[in-house]
Amino acid sequence: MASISLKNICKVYPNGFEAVKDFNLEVEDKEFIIFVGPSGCGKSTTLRMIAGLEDISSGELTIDGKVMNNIEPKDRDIAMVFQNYALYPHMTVYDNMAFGLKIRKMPKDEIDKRVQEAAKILDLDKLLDRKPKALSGGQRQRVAMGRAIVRNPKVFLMDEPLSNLDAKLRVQMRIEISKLHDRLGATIIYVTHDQTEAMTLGTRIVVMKDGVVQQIDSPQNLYNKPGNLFVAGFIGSPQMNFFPAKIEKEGDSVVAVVGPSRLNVPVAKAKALTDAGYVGKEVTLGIRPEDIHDSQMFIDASPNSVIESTIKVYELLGAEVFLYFDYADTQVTARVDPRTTAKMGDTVKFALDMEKAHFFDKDTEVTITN
Amino acid sequence: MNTNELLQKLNATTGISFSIPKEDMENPEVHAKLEELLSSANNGTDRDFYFQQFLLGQLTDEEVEGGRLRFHLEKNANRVLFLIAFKSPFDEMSLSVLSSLETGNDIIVEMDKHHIVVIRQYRSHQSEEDIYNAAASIVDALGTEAMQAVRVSYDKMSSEFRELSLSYKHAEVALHLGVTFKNGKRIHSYHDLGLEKLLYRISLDDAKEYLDENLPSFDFSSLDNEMRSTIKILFNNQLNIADTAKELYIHRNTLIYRLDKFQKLTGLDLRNFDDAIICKVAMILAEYTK
Repeated sequence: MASISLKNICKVYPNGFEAVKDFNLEVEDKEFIIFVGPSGCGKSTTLRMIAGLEDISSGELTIDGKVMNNIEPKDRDIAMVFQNYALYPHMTVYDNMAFGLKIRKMPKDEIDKRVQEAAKILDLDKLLDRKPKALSGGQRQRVAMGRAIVRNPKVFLMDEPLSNLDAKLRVQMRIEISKLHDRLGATIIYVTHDQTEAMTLGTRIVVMKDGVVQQIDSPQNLYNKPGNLFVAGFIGSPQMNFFPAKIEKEGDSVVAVVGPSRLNVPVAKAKALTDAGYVGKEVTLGIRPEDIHDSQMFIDASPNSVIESTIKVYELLGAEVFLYFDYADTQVTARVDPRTTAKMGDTVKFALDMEKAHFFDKDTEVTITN
Repeated sequence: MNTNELLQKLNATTGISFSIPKEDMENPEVHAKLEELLSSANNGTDRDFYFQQFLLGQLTDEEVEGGRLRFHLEKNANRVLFLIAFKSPFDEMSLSVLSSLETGNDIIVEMDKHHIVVIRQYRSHQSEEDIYNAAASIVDALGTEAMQAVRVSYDKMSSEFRELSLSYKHAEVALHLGVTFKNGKRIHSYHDLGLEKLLYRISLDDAKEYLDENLPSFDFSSLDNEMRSTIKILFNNQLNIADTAKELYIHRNTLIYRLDKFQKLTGLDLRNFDDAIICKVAMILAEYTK
């Protein structure tokens, strides 16, 4: 397997549009790296530059220390799995997996050895004689993976490989891919727009927006310590709630004024805000739905961070309830215990867990304190 | 033509060396079989040539119909023409992939070193989404198996054979406009081009005049990616502020701040439909006049 280095990689199209700007990343051997971001953020373009299917406008790409910028895709020792994988309808599973090796004129014995090995890994060994139409969606997807595995490449590049599957199968295949990574010990770069997929699969995640890397970090750090407002909003579902707030001094304490409420800011966060000169200034306060509580016990324990509003929508999801309400010109989501007594139309008190609050600069949108 | 001449001709046409036992050289059955083989081989070459000429619109109606009958092609069938543009000249591997993808009725025509046409025949009507997915499969299969970067363009489904020539023209236009206006995309449908298709037909002078009149001293290339994507997503969401802010993962006040900033730069308030139209047209024309 391989290590990959991207240094100051840029992609500029002939019309001047910069699809990827100054992308820097060191991928270690056997890492599972995820590129995630909304449509058009440059994640697929970056993957295609690594594959050699897009020219690199500037910067340097190396695989195992060898500069790859001008190396043909077929000579980069990579294998790809894309979203719209098409199996060859007239070929058996065996031939579908062997096809790429056959057209590269690989000896038959070697092809057979590789196909059998890959089939075993993917649990396809009993299906090798079947045609694609006789396979389930998940089995077809595994054949598509098998076509990449038989190449025995240094790097696997996957571009939204699960997007065309239904939700249930997607979850199942996500687990399969994770197991596959462990079994193959492979270096994988995986593109997705689905942040759940990103959080569950990646050892490290690259969050992109408008061609620019926003943050590269572990799933846990992205969730708990987002580097800016975009990452905070993108990672997590339902997304983080954002309130316009003003930071003020109140005696020895610091408060965040949100609508009619004056929310007490915990000491460490208050210090960070004060030291950075935000007292008297407007900021954005972020709080995740699970950090908004409606239990009386929590409200009693946090009298200085309570807000009140009327429930607009009540959504029971089984293990949890989502409560939707408006506060300070913001639509807010709270994720609460299903035993809640709150119902649609009720006016309810909520306590914000200010220890978990995030503060962002209003203009730069960069995190002040997490 | 005697048997020897036939064998030479076959070799020249197909590149295959045929050998006949001496005792069969005068056998009329063998002679007839060789003539049949040569005719089929010539037909193969003729077929490619016929399709190239037909798609390029260089045949008369009679010639189109004559070819259709000669090559046993159905007059009325559901067909979609995909034009594949290769970044590098295509190779045998690419042709193998395309041949293997076919469902039995595909016609593959090599137009030149960088372009292949695939005419796919379907049993039933296909939705826009089905056709897009078929194009995406071609792009992804050539990328993963032949490791070739391609763009694919297509027209709507045709029901009559002679319409394929127009489909090819439309696919060519879609490819050209796709490269001009939709750089990052690899699949271009003639019917998805909308305003770009219309505005591409106006003269460069008229385009420049429009830009000068509506946005004097403003250069769209000076916009950063963030503002570009904000505008694009606002248009995609029918100017709805809440939906746009949600899709951009930003607070609505942040979006309003960005729109105010754009208004200061251009005088256009994108929350207003008329201003949004001016901006949309100007953005396309700015690309076109570049």
